[in-house]
Amino acid sequence: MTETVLSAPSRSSLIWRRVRENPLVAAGGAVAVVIVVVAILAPLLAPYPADAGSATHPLSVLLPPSASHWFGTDQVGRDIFSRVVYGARVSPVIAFFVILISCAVGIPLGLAAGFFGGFIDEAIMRVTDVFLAFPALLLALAFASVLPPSLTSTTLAITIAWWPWYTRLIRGQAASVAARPYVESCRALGISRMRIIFRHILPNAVTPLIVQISLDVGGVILTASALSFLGLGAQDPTPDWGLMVSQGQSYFTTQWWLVTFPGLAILITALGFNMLGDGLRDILDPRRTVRI
Amino acid sequence: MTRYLTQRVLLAIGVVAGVVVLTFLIARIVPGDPAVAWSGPHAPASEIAQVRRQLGLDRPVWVQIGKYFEGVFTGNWGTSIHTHRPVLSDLRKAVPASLELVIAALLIAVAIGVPLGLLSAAKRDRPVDQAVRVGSILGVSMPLFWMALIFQMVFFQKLHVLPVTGEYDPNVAFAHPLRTYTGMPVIDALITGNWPMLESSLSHLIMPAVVVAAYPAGVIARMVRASVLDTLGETHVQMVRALGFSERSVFARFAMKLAWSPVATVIALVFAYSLVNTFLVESIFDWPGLGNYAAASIASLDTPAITGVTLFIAIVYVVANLAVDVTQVLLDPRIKLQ
Amino acid sequence: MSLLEICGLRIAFGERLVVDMDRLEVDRAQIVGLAGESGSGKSMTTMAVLGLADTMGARVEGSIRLDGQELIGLPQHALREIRGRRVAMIFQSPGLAFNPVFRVGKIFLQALELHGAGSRSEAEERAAAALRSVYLSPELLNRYPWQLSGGQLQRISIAIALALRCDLLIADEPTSALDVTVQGDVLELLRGLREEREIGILFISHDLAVVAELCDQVAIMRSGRVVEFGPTDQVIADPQDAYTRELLAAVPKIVYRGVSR
Repeated sequence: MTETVLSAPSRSSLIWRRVRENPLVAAGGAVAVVIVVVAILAPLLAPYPADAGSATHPLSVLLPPSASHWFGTDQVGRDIFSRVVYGARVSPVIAFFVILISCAVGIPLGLAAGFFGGFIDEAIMRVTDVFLAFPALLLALAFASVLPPSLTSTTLAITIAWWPWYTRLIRGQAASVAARPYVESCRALGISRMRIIFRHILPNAVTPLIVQISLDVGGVILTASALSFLGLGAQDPTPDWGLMVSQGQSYFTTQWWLVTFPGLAILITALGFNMLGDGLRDILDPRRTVRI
Repeated sequence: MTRYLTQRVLLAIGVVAGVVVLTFLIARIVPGDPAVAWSGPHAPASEIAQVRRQLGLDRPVWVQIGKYFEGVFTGNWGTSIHTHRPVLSDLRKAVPASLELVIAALLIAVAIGVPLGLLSAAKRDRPVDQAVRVGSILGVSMPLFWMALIFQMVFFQKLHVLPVTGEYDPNVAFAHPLRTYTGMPVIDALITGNWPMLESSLSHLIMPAVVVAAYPAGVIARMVRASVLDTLGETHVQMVRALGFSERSVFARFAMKLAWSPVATVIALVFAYSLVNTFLVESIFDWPGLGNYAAASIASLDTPAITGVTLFIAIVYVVANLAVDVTQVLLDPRIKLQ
Repeated sequence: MSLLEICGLRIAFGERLVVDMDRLEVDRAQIVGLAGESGSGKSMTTMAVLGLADTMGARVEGSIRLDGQELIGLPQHALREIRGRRVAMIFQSPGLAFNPVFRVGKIFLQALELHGAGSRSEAEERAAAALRSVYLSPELLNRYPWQLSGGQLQRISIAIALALRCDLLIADEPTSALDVTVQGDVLELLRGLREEREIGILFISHDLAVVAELCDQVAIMRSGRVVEFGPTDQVIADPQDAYTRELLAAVPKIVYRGVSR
């Protein structure tokens, strides 16, 4: 072994080394980046951009995959490859808004519950518990079924199901930090509560939050596609992957390409973000440190 | 310990009460008039008014909630719009089929997930471990409705190995009538010794069960791996290693007892999730269970039915959580301290 | 020949070297302190002596001799003969060191039977005797770990080492998690082990005051290296290394065998 510096390495270099060593993060991250790039560059990548909209081609209905239509055409003659490419704009956008709003609602509630404790904590957590008593898909389904079917309804319905998870997560973090003696001394010194929250509690909560968010992207995408499959989400002609699978169902036995490619897109996207989240959890998990 | 348990039970009851209120509110958010939905859009105003009185919609909200609570506890969960039968009796018919499916799926998931998780933990960071980890992530990332369709295509269309719809072959049922005890064909066939029906119902059960098993299998494998590795890293495991016990002893005798606790928790939670996942799969396999009923209710915007299903599953979830809490106390003495 | 001789020990995680120890020795009837801050490599050294460093993912090079026998490179089955039979370990958090699912006595007795205590009743005899010598009632063997205090559990750990008749005891910060009043009892017991049983003790700690009070020799560790090693009174009265001087300056008052500083 060569002479090596024995002082403890900085936290960021430790994290960076773990990123390099972890194939999950690398693969997942790559897939996530690809999806985002495809979504952004959709108009350039899709050979028939109009097909992602309301164009119909009655003469090229249900064509199998070929050189001119890589994924074949659907029941009204639209190029499936183009629609799948444009579909990359639909699901991640839903995921983005769901997570954004869930955080906007859930984090302040969690901070309040964990930091102030007592009655506020009890009240907020009981309400959260009621929402968490439903599996997320179920709650989203229930809400989506009473709203007119659209992308907005889906987003709203899933958000209602999702925000409690963030409240619970942040509440746990806030409560454990608020209980520490140094926070007590901060209070005794007269430091304002807002300052304590922003400078002490939030930074500690960032790591598990990042992990949770990256895992949730996959979950939201699966839930959204399930809602669309059941007819509660995006409507024709939106190129939503779940909707495309649902529409292709009746033709599936003979025209397998209608269902296979959109479903594969859902799978790969969810897989990528889940691998990323899993890998991040491995890297950022504080329990992994070894006593030297 | 009894105090802890009573606390959990009271909490569970409180949550269920909250769930009832929430489902009631969900149902009442419906844009449009439930009375109109019930009587149909062309009904005369007098009939709609009568229906409104019948459904209790003319009373103030808090009275409605009270009546709803009362209804829930006395067995009146409303009447389904698309079947015109009481929701509770619809549920009673549909639940056994879904139960059969979910139980079979969980059995498969445990049979696959636990050994793979153990293997993964034992060969940590080696190729086997990486493969199992990717596999379990694959399981939780799978769009179930798509997997169901693909499976149908492969195993029914192309390979002609497995049947595609229903719980059993109606021709076989005609020739060998099945006595119903539990409502679950596999179990009924087993206890009545009706072998042709057993074969038929089993072969119909496999595909949907495997599809529903994908998610829990992934979760279980991951949980087993994490739990075993966590336990192996704890100080008391180092202590028995330091005392000279073999790695196998350390693993089997000392570590495993503690590793099971989180896994049991996960299995109970995943039960309710799988019950919801059947919604996506049952309509594809024409399985006469809760999922099919729910999918039909959603398609016809049958609010009482949707509410009933939601309520039922939420109760299952809360009860499962409670069962987990109880078993945890029994399995892990450390909880008693808290 | 010393009981324990460590020579040129190097422990690494991947490319990162965490221990680079030239020399450390522990003799029979001697208590050697290994002092240093967190992260200095103390715990990994103890793992290496037990041959357990690889369970934490580390690579080990160099020489660790127990009564002349080389431990590094020894196959697992030979190491298992030594663990618990010739070398015992007590841990920092006694509450965590005992498996909560088992009664304390169960693991105690199984360890005894593993290392040739003969019949069950013989093992029970030895366990009871060991508990009495640490001033505990043998009845405690029937309790669960979470029913006992930290001090009691730590004394039971010492009793296990006694019952197994070990030659070398590695104590990894055994008093750090205990009250000061209970600390004294445990330290007294360790002294007793040295006097009456002639056991060699490697005492790990970050607390220089405790080390000074208890140990015959002390090694100061910093970033994996031993920067100073010698008789305790010498190291305290006349520290050679700047780091040692820093550590000593941070301790308010050290009393070594009646000689205060």
